[in-house]
Amino acid sequence: MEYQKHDMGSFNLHLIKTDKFRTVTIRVSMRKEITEEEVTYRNVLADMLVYSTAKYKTKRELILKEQDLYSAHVSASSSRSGMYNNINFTLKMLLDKYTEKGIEEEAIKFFSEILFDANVENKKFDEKAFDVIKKENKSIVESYKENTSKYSIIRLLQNMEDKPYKYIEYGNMEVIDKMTSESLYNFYKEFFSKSLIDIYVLGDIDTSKYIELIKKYFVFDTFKRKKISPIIKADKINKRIKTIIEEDNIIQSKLAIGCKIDNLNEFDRNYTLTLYNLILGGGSESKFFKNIREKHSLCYYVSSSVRKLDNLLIIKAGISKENFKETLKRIKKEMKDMTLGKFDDIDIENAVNNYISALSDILDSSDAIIETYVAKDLLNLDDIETRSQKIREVTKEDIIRVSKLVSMSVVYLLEGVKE
Amino acid sequence: MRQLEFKNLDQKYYYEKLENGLEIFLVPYKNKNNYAINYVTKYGSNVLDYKVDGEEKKAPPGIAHFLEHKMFESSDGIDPFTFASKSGTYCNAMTSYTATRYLFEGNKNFLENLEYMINFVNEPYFTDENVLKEKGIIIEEVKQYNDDIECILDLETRKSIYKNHPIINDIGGTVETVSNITKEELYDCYNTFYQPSNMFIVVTGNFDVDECCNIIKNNKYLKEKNKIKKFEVCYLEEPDTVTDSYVKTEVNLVKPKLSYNIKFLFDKDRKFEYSMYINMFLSLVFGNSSKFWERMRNEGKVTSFGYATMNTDKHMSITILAETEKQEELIKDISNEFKNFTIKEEDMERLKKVWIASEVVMIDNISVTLDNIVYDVIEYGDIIDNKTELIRKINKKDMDEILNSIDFDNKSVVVLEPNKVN
Repeated sequence: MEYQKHDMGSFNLHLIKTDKFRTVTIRVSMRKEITEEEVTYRNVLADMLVYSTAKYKTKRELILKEQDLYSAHVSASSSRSGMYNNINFTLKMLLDKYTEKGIEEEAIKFFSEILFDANVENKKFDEKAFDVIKKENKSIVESYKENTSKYSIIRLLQNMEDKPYKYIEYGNMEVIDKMTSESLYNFYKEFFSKSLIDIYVLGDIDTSKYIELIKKYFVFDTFKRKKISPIIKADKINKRIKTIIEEDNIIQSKLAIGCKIDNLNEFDRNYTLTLYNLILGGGSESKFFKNIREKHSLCYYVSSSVRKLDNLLIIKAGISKENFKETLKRIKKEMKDMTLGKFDDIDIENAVNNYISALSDILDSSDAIIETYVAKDLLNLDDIETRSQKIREVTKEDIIRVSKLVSMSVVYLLEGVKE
Repeated sequence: MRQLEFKNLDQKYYYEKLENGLEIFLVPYKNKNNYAINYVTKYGSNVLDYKVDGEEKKAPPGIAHFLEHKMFESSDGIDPFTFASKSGTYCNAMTSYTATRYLFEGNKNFLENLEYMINFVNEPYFTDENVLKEKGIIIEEVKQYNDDIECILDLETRKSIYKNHPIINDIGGTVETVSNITKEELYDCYNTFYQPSNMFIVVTGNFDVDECCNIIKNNKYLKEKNKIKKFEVCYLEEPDTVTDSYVKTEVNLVKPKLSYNIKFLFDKDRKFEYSMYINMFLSLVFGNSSKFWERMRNEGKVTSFGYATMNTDKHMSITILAETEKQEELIKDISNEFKNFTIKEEDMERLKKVWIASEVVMIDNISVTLDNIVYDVIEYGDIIDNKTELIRKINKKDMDEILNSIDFDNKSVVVLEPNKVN
């Protein structure tokens, strides 16, 4: 794989040349420091831009055009990374050699129209299109409660500190009710002119040709933004664990536990913490899986996951409500055992092997490869080769030390009261 | 080992059928890091009643899935998850209506892992104690699905379409059926359905074909298991008509959801063809490039919309799925669309292009290719390596013929509404 980075003025262009795939992937990644209101706006804008353009005024027409381009497809996704709101626009298409000469350029042109030639009139998005997208996003905001597992995590975070991780990823009802096609258009202009922008191109490409194509079709009216640290400052550890229990008309109860992580240095954040999480609750070899699920049959799923940029560790489990106290007790015990060094070299080795295997997986996925370059900029994460070496430098003492930086803060139970 | 190829996709594969009936499909890739292995038995949750050695047996719903869980038990304490972890290999299993699959995916120790996998699937170890322990875990899994709105809609949909076929049961069974499973029942099912003649192995990705073959052919269990036990799966008579034309039920949800379903017979000799034409029909009439979907979105009648198909040994069914607050209106709209649709040849040609492009993208991915092979063998009896050619042959005449054989009035509707607040 050959990597080139070019400063294009208003954005950085990353070219990753590889002959491993029959497709070319182009991702336009846009990041802006988060505000709560903009969470809702970023979700709607992402959907709005891929719904129609000035040339293809309905979704149907847009899709028919994509089909004509041998299924070239543009998708948009919005998310939060620590202190950033992100919108990613991705084009995936087959190489010309599998379709027809000129299709790659035509697809890139089509992609640029989605970004820059939106279905807009009089400084407003087309009303009909806006109505459809607003209604669909409203529906998502109204019904996130239906996914009880995700809902329990949302309720957990809402009961923690006043930080961006509290913002509900689906958006906010008040904000969407007040949104108009004009206010969305203003956000569109604002977001495109104030974001940190990176464009990634991955495939069996002629790099000089692609530099020209990108220059031609991607003209951003923005100054290159200075990076801010995406990391949300670690919270003060609270003295007592807060417990919240809410009822719902469901059969299985959902347990969600939020733990704060204090004072991580870069090595710990990128390496030690990952191994700690794998050993504690990150897979079928973890303490949670082996002891709480397999040994005591207390649940079908119980796992932990790390949110590096939020300085949080989240534990979740699906349990019967009678097993709440017992499950919580066992979770606490496993966490305490980690601080007492009650885990073996074999546990560390398994976790390291798991990690290295995941690195290898990356190389077979174009999206995952692009993610590594994103992480490099965002988190100062090392390249794959370096990571596979550095992970082996983590010692048992490091893991014990990091385990003492993790403390349980809030326990949330969505209690199932259905017979 | 026979060398064959996926037509027009620049990808070779290898096939062999052993004397004991086990089939092997190998797809080596030059430029991938990983390998993926599936060891599959053509035995899923759809098998309840069966005859073996002249004896009639009845198995409870959920047993194939329970059996899948129990295969991970080992007498020496080193279970497959642990073994796979040693080389950082991903290990999992899944049960569907028609198959149970054991999966390893990784980039190290291929031969060792392949050998281990064949061994553990051939070493059943069920005790009263380990069966009891598993019940707790599986019951939690079943309860999780019982809360899941999509699962609820899917269950009610199947019950509204089919009457006697085992597909009306959830794959995992119910809390009650799971609670009563015995180790004897597990051994009976294992001994009948986990024999080489009822199983196959698929490997894709980065591996050596000859070394792989050697491991399989020299495996002690596969060499031992050379007797083929004949069995017969028994199905009750299934009516051609739907079971319940309209079902409405209250569920813990916010937005109402519905399914609109059509049931019909299909020609067993043309199953793949039927599925191609039905899928093309659904894509053109209800898919994201259809005028119907555009109208429904513009008129605010749906906030989420899609379709799926299902089949048993005799029948196929179409399911239109929607999230909507205008249930009755939408049902009428769908009904009208089934009566008045038109299919244009130019639309069919455009979709053929899309499907062929999709075949190129899919062959690039070792996991997707593996899934497709497993699906083909289970559903159609063999790998289908000429899909690009079959797609090119799609024509309006055959489309019309197949659509004309369907009675679109043979329909069922399921509506899930929010619990009424008292």
